[in-house]
Amino acid sequence: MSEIHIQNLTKRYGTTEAVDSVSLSIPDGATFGLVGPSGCGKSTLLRMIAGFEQPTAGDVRLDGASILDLSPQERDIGLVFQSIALFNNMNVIDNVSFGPRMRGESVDEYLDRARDILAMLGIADLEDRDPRNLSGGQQQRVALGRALAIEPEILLLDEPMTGLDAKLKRRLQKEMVELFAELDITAIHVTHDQEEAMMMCDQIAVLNDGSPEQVGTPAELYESPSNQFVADFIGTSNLLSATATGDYLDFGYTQVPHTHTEEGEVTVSIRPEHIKSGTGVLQAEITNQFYLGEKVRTYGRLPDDSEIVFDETQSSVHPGDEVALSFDKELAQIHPAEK
Amino acid sequence: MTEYASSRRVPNVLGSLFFYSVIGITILFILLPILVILLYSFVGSLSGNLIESFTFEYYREVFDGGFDPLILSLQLAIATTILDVVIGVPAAYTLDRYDIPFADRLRDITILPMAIPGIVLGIAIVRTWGVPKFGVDLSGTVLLLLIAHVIFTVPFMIQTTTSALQSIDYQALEETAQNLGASWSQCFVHVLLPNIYNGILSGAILTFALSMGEFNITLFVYNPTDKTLPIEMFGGFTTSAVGQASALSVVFVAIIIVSLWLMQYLGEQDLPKVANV
Repeated sequence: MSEIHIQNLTKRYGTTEAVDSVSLSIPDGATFGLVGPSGCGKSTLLRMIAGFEQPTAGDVRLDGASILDLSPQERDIGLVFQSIALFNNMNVIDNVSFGPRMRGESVDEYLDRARDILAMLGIADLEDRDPRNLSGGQQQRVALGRALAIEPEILLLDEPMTGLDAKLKRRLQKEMVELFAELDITAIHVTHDQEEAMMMCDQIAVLNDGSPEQVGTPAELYESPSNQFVADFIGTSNLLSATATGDYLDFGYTQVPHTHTEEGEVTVSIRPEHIKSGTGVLQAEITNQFYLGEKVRTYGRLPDDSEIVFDETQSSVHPGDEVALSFDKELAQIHPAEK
Repeated sequence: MTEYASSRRVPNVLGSLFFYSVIGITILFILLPILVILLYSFVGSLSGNLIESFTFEYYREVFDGGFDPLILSLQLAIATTILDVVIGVPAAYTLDRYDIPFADRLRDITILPMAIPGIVLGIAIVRTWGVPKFGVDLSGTVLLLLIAHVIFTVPFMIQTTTSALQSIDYQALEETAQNLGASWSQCFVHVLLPNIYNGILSGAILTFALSMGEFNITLFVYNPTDKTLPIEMFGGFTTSAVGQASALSVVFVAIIIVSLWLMQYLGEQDLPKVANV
């Protein structure tokens, strides 16, 4: 069992709080994502779990026991850094077998295990290669293999796909999801790429300024963001200002009947795919259009000069046209307006 | 058309000629003194018939006179280099790795011996370590020479090692190694040292050459019974034993070239593999 409980974890540098009393529970075997903009504290959080930073307050418990008193060597954690940090003075198999070798295992044992892991990752033929001569994707697999060789309870990944091209990323993401399921390993995955998190993680915590804005499954975060920040960070959202009064949403230039619990100044967040063109009360002038293959993304300007973006499989309008837009009221999210 | 083609070609030839001449003149400028000494080592003086005065006599005198200054210089250079590695590498690592208050100022201090003229350093060392202190008298001993050589050369070792450290993200390497279960010493030996090995080797080559050729400080600190090679040569030239001193110089240069070549050759071996057993 490898359950992790992060309790009120805090890291303060001087007067700045990089991590602000974060509490998270990660179930055994889950892949848990930590996403957020740069500087939100996700890497600091990871480093505290790994043992490279001492928390100012709080606890990290693995299977019920605190691991804060353990040195990085003693914590049963596998780590893949953003910089990958392969040991360039050793070949691939020496890199992968480094952990078991330092822990005193016999040559046969650690070499066998390393070879098994290389085979599992599809890079058995790279055994004798110099890490510097490998491609980005190959290096990433070696780093992963090296972390898995010590058979850790948890795997920590800090932006492991940095610097890889888009297609390779997608392939590796899929491979890793399948691999983690097969190994039934508990993993914490830090990334600024919310699409990657949605694809790879069972649950995601969206961090902002040191604390989580929302924790939930990818579906929960996408379909029911709890505030403007999450709506904006996960996927693309239109954030339209309105005033919620009685049974209406008053956009200023038009009113839309809507039942809601919020009152006063609100932000209405609508996904681009939930907007239809043709009829509706939102009048927009098309300013730009992008053909993206599976969809056409169109940008328009509303009467109050704010921008609206909508996606369709085929476009019927062109830049310069005036178009009437409607949106699916059931799927729109209403949040109190933030300053 | 023809005019265009020829005006394209001519500058290229002129350009190559210019560059080769500059290189040639520079090399000649550097080699000329050595060639002159080589000449003197066979003829003793430039007056009289050069062909007739050609002799191996001076070399015989050098080999008969014993190798004591040469042996002392070699021993000193080796000891200095070893001490420099033992002192300099940890110093460079500590200064770079940890957030020490005034780390920059400390680093400036370690560079000081490079900047201070050798004569000043020599006088300072003699006044500090060359006088009886706390019941210990180092004046005139080889130990004093060693101290002087180490003080003078260790900044170079610190510099090259620091460069090597700053060229790699060794902190990520260390943390990765620790995470995988390596103790600090395993980390240092298996991961850190192999990756900064080139910096340490350059430092070693540099300090060896500097120690062999060191004269300014040694002049103040040496003892007439323990002369280093440069001191011996200086003596030879001032007493007009030019032929013998020249022969000694040639032998000296030859030894330095062989030593440096040897160190470079060893450096190209797969040492990281050795450290990685």
